[in-house]
Amino acid sequence: MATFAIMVRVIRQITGDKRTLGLILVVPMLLMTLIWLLLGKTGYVPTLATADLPSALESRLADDGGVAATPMTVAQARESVKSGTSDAALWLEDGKLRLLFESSDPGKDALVLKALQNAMKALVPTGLPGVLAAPEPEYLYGGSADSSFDSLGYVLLGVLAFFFVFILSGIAFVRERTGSTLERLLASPVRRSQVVAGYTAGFGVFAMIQCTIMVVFAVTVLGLHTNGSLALTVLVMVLLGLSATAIGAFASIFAENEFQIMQFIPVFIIPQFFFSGMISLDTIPLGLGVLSRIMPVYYACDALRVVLVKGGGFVEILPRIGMLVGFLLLFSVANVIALKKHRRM
Amino acid sequence: MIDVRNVVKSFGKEQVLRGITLEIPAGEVFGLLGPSGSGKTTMIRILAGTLAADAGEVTLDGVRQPDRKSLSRIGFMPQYDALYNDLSGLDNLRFFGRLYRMDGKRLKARIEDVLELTGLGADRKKRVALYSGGMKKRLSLATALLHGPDVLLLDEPTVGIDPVLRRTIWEEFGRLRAEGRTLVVTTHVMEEADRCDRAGLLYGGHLIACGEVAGLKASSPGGTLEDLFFQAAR
Repeated sequence: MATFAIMVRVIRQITGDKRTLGLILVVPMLLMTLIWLLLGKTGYVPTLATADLPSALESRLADDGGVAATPMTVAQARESVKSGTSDAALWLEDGKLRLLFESSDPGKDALVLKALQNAMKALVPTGLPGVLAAPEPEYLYGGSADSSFDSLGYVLLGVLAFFFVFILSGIAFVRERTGSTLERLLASPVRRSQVVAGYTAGFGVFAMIQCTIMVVFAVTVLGLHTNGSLALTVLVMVLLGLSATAIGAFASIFAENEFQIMQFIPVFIIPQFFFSGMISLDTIPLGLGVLSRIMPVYYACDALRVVLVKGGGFVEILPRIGMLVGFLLLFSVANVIALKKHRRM
Repeated sequence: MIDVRNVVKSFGKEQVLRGITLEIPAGEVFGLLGPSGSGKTTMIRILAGTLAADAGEVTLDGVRQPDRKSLSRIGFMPQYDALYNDLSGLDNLRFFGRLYRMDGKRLKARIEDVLELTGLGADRKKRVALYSGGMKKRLSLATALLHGPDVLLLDEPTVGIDPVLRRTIWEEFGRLRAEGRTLVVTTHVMEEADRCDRAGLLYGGHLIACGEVAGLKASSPGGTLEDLFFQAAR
């Protein structure tokens, strides 16, 4: 009952504060819409310098309208990319297509690749350039980064869910400590575990609402492509939100005021974003990729990737879900122990 | 009866209580007196079980503290109002009541009682953030009284309260004592000591005197409790 009372109180505190409520429910949607706009379709037509292409492909590209193709010589095409006149160059060399970009630009690259894919797909039934394989993009500077809303969306879901819940729980707990209400709470016959459970349950309710809204919004309104179950997606995010509650409360032990919670953002939150799957972990030097193994956001984002991109089922993400539950339990126990500072029983 | 034996407490290098031994009989108003920084709050927090002593022990009717079951017998009013500012007074009371396993009709009736006692009936729906300092103090007292504890630990309950209300509150303390409850009240206002049955004088972490207020006064050179502090300071 004490657990329930604490849960109800946390919920009342949050619903009583319109700004906090907005931060939980509306801001994630705004941010996702913003990213969707930044990464999504814009109507921009990239310029493509072409050389020595089969005429069928040349005309297909022109018909498609996805790119503005200008025929020239190979040398001219390369030069045109270098000077920035064209976004990309496409030519035939030794029976193979070669595609060159200046440097990686997720938005433009995706548009050019898409137009080329469409053109080649249309040509397959005619059997004409059957010898042609889709080209591996080359870059004058820098490497490839396959990112668009579809491939970044799941990272964003995980990162936002963690971030907001961490901040709210951390601040709520630090207030409870500094406002001496925690001491007052522990002067009652409540169990320390009930305090932690009540808090987790109260924030858990909001994590659940927030995650459901975010997933439904991303899929239905923003058209995030998904191959897997929405319920599983929400489950992963709620577990992440619950661990964020526990970790936020844990962080509050080392903070004396609200601002010191903010100081944890660059230390504990931002590194987790880097390891969330935005950057391929295999390419991180010095074996730093293993750091991801201690980060809940990594496990959640990886599980979201398996569900949303690969269409994986419960069994496939079970190990990652297990890790999230592990984080939740580990930090909950740590929080119960930390309350001993106020009461040794 | 509360029995305190050789309680020692330090914060970092600073020793705040240097071996306190005292007995607080049941059914009396016991005043913990002393200037600021003398260890009154530390002592009362140890009695409330929210702070652990480094050495020594506290027992309540023979049960060694802190003990979770005993906590439902204790009502604690901390020095700083431990209230949820973003909730209404009523919601604060409901919350604390439920922590003491009160519910339904009993909780409702008790809330009415303490609201009436503290004169907050009309402001119950207001957010505590909008309360004045005195109102917060009264709500804090109301939460301590809510579950009808037989031991009340009140840390500076009348600081920042106007003289009229102060009198009302002390009258209520008298009523609670008449019901057989034990009250431990800290204060640095010596006039309030006169309303206590017994007092313990804390100075620099030591208990410099303890006993019936009248007896203490008689033993002091100038006939006042202040003189005992001046004597200790010398």
